[in-house]
Amino acid sequence: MDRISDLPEHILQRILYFMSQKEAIRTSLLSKSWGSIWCTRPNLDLSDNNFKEKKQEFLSTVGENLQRYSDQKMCLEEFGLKSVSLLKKWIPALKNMGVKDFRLSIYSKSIQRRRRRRVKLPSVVFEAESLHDLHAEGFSLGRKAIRRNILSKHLKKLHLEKVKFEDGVFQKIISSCPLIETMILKSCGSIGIYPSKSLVKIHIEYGDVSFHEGAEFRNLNYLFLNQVMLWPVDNFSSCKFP
Amino acid sequence: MAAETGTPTTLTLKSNDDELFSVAESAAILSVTIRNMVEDGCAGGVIPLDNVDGKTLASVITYMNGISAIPADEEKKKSYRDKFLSDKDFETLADMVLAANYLNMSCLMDAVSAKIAQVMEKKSVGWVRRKFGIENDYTPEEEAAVKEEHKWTFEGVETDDDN
Repeated sequence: MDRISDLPEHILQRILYFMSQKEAIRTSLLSKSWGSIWCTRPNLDLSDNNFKEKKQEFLSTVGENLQRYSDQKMCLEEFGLKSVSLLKKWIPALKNMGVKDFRLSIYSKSIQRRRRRRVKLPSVVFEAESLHDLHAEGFSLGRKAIRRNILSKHLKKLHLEKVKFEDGVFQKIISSCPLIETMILKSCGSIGIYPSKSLVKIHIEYGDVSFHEGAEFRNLNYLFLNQVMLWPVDNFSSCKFP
Repeated sequence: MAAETGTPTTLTLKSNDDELFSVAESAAILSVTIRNMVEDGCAGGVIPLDNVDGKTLASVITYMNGISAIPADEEKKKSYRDKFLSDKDFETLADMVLAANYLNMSCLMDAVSAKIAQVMEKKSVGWVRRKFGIENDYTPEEEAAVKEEHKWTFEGVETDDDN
């Protein structure tokens, strides 16, 4: 057999892990031995852009894929979905599948519509215990969304862009996620940063940031602020960095 | 186990074609396989690595030394990896990914896998078959069926005469 096809299956799955869903599926045409490797790669990226008008086909593809991972008790590390309306249905499914460690990337384009109202990020996102890495763009996060307990205590990386918070919401998320290490915030308006023992990296662009007075960041080794208004400046200078 | 103080500990690694390499323990323990041996106290003499040849091991050690010299800065580490892999042909990459797998070095394994994925991406099926010498063992009927099943993935991709 040729060199690449001869690599162990889990290495081939790793290779496919770095491809888009479309590219990964296309490898099934290479030869018989490649026929189903894509089915077991540790990530699923289902973007409904690929289906355009065929909403029903998209829904059944998401369902079939999740079912397959579930049936074969495969570990799904990463799950990308661009359709917010489906989250309510699929997040509990992921939980039932025992997904250990998952990343979620969600984007909302509704922000460009008239009235510029952002789609609310469904509360179910924070009910996924195994959520490890959340990347969300173009949402609003209201108090309602986090009225229930935040269960995603394993969240390590939070990347938010164009996300608008109601008062107190951001603080509640951060204080509920004791393991959070990386925080990337872009164009998220006004944000208050409170002390954290776990934060290693803070990256903020475009926004108003107020550091809590005297806040201590014991493990921080990366702080990047770009086009950020710091207020009050005194608070920032009273913060304790390593 | 490494001494708490004093000169850095050096390990001796032996490839499956009997080449010996000296490498600082702090760099070598990027490999979980080697780290476990060190922790179990089996790293006193020579560490035999039965699944890695000398040429590949030399390359892996260059990587170990290079990446461990970079402080905790993911961006810089990434650009080091990109540069390190940029001139490697597929045969070398295949050797490296197998070695990374055996040595349990996830950062190298991921970097090489991503690099191979990048070579395959956005290419026609025929191009990938030719590039990697993959023999198409589908009958024309089977091939048409696979293509039909995943029709959407072939939209907007240039087709070759031979696929």
